[in-house]
Amino acid sequence: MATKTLRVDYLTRVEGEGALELDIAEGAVVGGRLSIFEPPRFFEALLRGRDCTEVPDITARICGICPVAYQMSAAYAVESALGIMVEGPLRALRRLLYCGEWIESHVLHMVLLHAPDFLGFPDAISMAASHGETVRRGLALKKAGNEVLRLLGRREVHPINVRVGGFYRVPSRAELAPLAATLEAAREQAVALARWVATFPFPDFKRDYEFVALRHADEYPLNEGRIGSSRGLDINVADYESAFEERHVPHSTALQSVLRGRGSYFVRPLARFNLNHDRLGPGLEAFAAGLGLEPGCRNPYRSILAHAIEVVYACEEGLRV
Amino acid sequence: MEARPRPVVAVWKFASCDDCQFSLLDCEDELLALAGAIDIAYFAEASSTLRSGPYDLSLVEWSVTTTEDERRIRRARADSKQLVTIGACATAGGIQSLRNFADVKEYIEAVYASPEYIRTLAASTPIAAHVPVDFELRDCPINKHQLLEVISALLAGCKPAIADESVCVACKKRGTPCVMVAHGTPCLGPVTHTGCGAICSSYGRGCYGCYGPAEAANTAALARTWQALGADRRSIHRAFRSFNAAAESFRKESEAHGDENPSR
Ligand code: SF4
Ligand code: SF4
Repeated sequence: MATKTLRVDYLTRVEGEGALELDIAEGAVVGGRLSIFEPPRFFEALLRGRDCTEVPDITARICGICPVAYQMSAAYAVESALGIMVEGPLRALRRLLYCGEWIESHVLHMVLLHAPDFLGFPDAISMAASHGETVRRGLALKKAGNEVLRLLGRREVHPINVRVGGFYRVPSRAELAPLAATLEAAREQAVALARWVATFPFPDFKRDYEFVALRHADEYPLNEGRIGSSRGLDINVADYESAFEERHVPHSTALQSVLRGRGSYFVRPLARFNLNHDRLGPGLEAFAAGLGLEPGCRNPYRSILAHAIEVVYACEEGLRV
Repeated sequence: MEARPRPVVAVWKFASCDDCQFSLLDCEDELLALAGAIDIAYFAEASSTLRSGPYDLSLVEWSVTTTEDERRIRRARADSKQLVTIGACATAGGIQSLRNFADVKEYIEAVYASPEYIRTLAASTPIAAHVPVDFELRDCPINKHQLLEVISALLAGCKPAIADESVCVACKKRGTPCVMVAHGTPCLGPVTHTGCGAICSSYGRGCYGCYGPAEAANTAALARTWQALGADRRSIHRAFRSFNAAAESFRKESEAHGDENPSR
C-alpha cells in the first residue's frame, strides 16, 4: 500500500511556529505529526532562583497574546505555595482582568486568525474588503477588552499591575465606572459576532474526544477550580502530575501532554463549555443552543462558537463584577 | 498625481513571545488604514499569503538562538532595504538570554526529557550581532504608537521621532511623585529608556526595566541608591538581569553585583 506524505512547512495564522505532516494511504489519513519548531526559551530553567514576586512578570513573556493567563497561573501557584488566598473584591477584579483578556484574545483568534479559514481568505485584511463591517466590529470588541486590560493592568500587553497577593494599585470606583458602558456595548457586539460565526459552513465531523477543563463549584471557571474531564477525571490542580504526563518527542520542541493511561485529550473553550455549560446561566446556555452549540459537542470546527459564547460570557461577567 | 506603489513590508519571528508583531494587530483603530498604506507581503502569524522578497521594510521580532535563525536573518537582511528590530528579544536577546550566563546544556536537561532532540545555540543574541540594523525598538513589549511612528517615519525616509530619555523624565513631565523618594521603592526608571509613559510609577511600583537601558545610563549610581534603600546584592543583580540582561550596560551592572546566575 503506497503512503503519501503531505507536508505543510509553516502553519500560518497560528501563534507559534509549527509544521504539519500527514501520511495518507488510499485516501485516508493514517498518521500525522505536528512539529513545533519554535526554538525553546527555557522558562522552566530560567525561573529557578528568581524571587517569587518576579515570576508573574517573567511568565507573561511566554506569550504576548494571553499574558494574563500566564501571570494569573504564576500568581496562583506562588500564592498556593505561600498559603495565601486572594479573596473578595481583589479576586473579583482579577476575574474582571481575565475577562478583558478573554475578550481581546478570543476575538483576535476568531476574527483575525480563524474566520478567514471558514470564508476562504488568506487573512482578515483581505476578508475586510467584503466583510468590512464584521471585521470592524471585531476590532471594536477587541478594543473593549483592551480597555479593561489597560485600566486594571495598566497596559494591554504584559500588564504591570498583576502582583502576587493582588495588584500594585487598585483602580478607584470612579475609574472603574466607565467600563460598565464599554462592556454593555461590547456585549451587544459580542452577540452579533456570535450570530455571524454561527453562519459559517461547519463540516460535519465528530470525534470521540476526552474533554479536559477546570470545573468550579459555582462559577464558569477562569482561574480556579478542580481539573475535570468528560470521562470522570476530577482532581486537585496540585495533583496534575499524577494524572498527566508531558512527553518529549523527537520532532517537536513543545512537550506533548497526555492523560496517563488514556492518551490525548481536548482542551480550550469547547472543552470548557462542554464541562461547564451549566455555569453560563440559563439565558446564555439557551443562546448557545440556538446558535447550534449544544453541550457535548464533539465537532472541533464548532470550537469557534464556544469562543464566541465565552466572549459574551466575559462581557456579562465583567458587568457583574 | 501618480499613485506611488505601496511599500512592501515583512514581519519575521522566531524565539520571542509574538507580542511585538501582534502589536500591529493591536492597532485596532489604525489597522485597516495601515493595511491600505502598506503592502504586507510576509506575516505568517496573520496571513497565509507569504510572498518572497525584496521588501522595503522588514520588522524582526526574534532573537537568534539556532543556526537556522542565523541563516534566516541573513536572508531577511539581504531581501530588505531597511530592517528594524522590534522588542527586547530582537534588540537585546530577550528574557531567553538568561541562558547566556548559564550552561545551556544544563538548561536543556532541566526542561527536556530527551536533551539529544534539542538543537540550540549556547547564547540568545540580538539581531545586530549578526547583520546591520537600521533602527532598534528595545521595549518588552513595544508599544504600538512607537511602532506606527517607526513604520511611517522610515517609509517616508525620515528618522523616527523617539526621544532618548529615561523613564524619570516621563515621571517629571507628568508630575508623578517619585516612588523612590516618596516610598523608598527601588526603581530602574533612571537608567531605563522612556516610551511607556512611566506607567509603573503611576501604579505605585518601581520600574523593572522592560524598555531596556537608556543611552548613557548611570547604572552604578543607581545601584548605590538601591543599596541605600536597603536592596541587597542579589536583588540588584537580578534587577539588571531580566528582559534586557544581555544589553551592554545592564549586563555589566549585573556582573558587578555577583556573577552567579540566579537560576543555578
Ligand atoms: S519613580 Fe522611578 S522613573 Fe519615576 S522619577 Fe522616580 S526613579 Fe525615576
Ligand atoms: S518596567 Fe519600566 S519601562 Fe517597563 S513599563 Fe514599567 S516603567 Fe515602563
